[in-house]
Amino acid sequence: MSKSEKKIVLKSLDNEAFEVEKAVALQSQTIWVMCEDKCVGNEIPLENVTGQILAKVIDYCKKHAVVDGDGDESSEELKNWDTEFTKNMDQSTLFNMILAANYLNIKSLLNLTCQAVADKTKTIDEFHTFLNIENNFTPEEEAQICQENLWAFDD
Amino acid sequence: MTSISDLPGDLLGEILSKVVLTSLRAVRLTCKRWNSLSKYHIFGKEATRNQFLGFMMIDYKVCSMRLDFQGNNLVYSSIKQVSLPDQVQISISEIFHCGGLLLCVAKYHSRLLVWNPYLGQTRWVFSRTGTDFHIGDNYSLGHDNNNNHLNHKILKVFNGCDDTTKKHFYGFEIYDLNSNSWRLLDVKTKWDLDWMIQCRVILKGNTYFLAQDPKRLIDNFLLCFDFTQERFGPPLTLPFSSSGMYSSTLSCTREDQLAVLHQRLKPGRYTLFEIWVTTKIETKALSWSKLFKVAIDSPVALASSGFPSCFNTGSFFFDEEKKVAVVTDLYGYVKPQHFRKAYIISNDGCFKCLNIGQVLNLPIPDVLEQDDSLPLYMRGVQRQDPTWLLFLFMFQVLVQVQLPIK
Repeated sequence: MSKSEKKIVLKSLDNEAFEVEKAVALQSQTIWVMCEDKCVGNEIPLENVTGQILAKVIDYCKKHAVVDGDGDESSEELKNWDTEFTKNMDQSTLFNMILAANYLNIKSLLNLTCQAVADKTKTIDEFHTFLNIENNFTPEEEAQICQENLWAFDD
Repeated sequence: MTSISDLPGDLLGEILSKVVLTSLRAVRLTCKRWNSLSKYHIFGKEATRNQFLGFMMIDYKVCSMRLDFQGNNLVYSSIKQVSLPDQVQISISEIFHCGGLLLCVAKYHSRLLVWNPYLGQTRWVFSRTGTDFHIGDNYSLGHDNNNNHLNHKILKVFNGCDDTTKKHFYGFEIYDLNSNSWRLLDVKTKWDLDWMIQCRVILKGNTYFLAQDPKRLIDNFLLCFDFTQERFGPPLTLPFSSSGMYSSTLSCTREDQLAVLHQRLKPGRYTLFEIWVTTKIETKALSWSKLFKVAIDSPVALASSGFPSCFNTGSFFFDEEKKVAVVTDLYGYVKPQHFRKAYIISNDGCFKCLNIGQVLNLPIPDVLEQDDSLPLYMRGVQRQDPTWLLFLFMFQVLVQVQLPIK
């Protein structure tokens, strides 16, 4: 395989182009299928992902790619990297990352970002503030739900 | 502004599967959409390992219970009484769990209630003849494994007597939750089944009973009632021989393996515990491996351990990885000084008393009260019910399937 064949160009919704190793990009099942089908050239347009989000997705894929023996990170270190990666994402970024991971079909990234949301929301207040949801229950409905779920413990 | 809440339902479901079960109330109280989402997507599937959540019985009341690990130590967290959603105040003497449903057997075995705590649904089960259930009847809950949709069933075992030979036998009936009706089964067994609730365990929809040969009355074995085939399998051997003073009780692991706790004792002298876990479950045979064995082997050690001198294992649950078990005292209800205590035994030989006395709103148990309004045989049976304290299943994933009750 020649050098150029190992590279692939991903183009975002806002026309930002990213040249990456093929092995990095192929972690996305969606891109893998596109390449298999040979329906695209070396440049793949990704119409649902902005440049800002795609850059983060590529960061993730680079870290997790096994390229020419460079991918020998210990699983512990990779885990720490993942934690740092999502730690400071705000809800809008996480929202877009989840959509991108789903569209690009990168299972591990989808798991990681969904886990990050779950980790940031444990109490009712966290659900309301972090997820920007308003309480639309009447006091009676609220009491009913409390009663039905008496068996469940709060953290 | 876009919000996580605007994600498509299946992606929200993906998030919910990662939310810990202890946040269930928070999610449901957030807003209407999340409340209804939580009923279609299963929660806490991948929740933390360090919690034991489950239900237990105390003084004829259903309680939910939570214990946590701090490092390697199991610490008491909390127990609270649960009122059943249907507002019916009945005393419950036994409960069974299978695939997200709880079968609650009322005191004197007079009524049956099926409860899905996750969906907050209840349903009464009525007897075949329309008359009351008999106090001597016993029950278990299971489901068949025929297809992807689990079909839950209740097994009823009653004592029959042959009119001509006057011989006693066990009779079996099945209640099908889908068709909502009882059927008499053409099933016979020559073995004696042990009716203590801790001598039965429900695993993958089937029920395993401790059983004995009525002619020999020593060596226990296990019998599996298969809810798909609706019949008993062959006797399955246990990994130890039963001799001297001993007791055996059943439990299971998070990974769907059977477990048995075997205790040998000489009151005031020594007591020895062994926990065995299956490595392979087949219809005709079980393979076992010993998880751990601990002994309090001298009268002095026994006195200082805090264990009651004639401790008999009631029910138990355990953590496989940390090799720690929590066991209850079978006859704890007749020993007020040990009241509401459970005991932790661990692989490193450490014995500890777990005080679970902070239960709220619980009346004094009436197990020992005389109730002269009851027929004599009923009083006897009632006193044998060791229901003051009973662990059921302590697994964090309480709900494996969503099963709406009609």
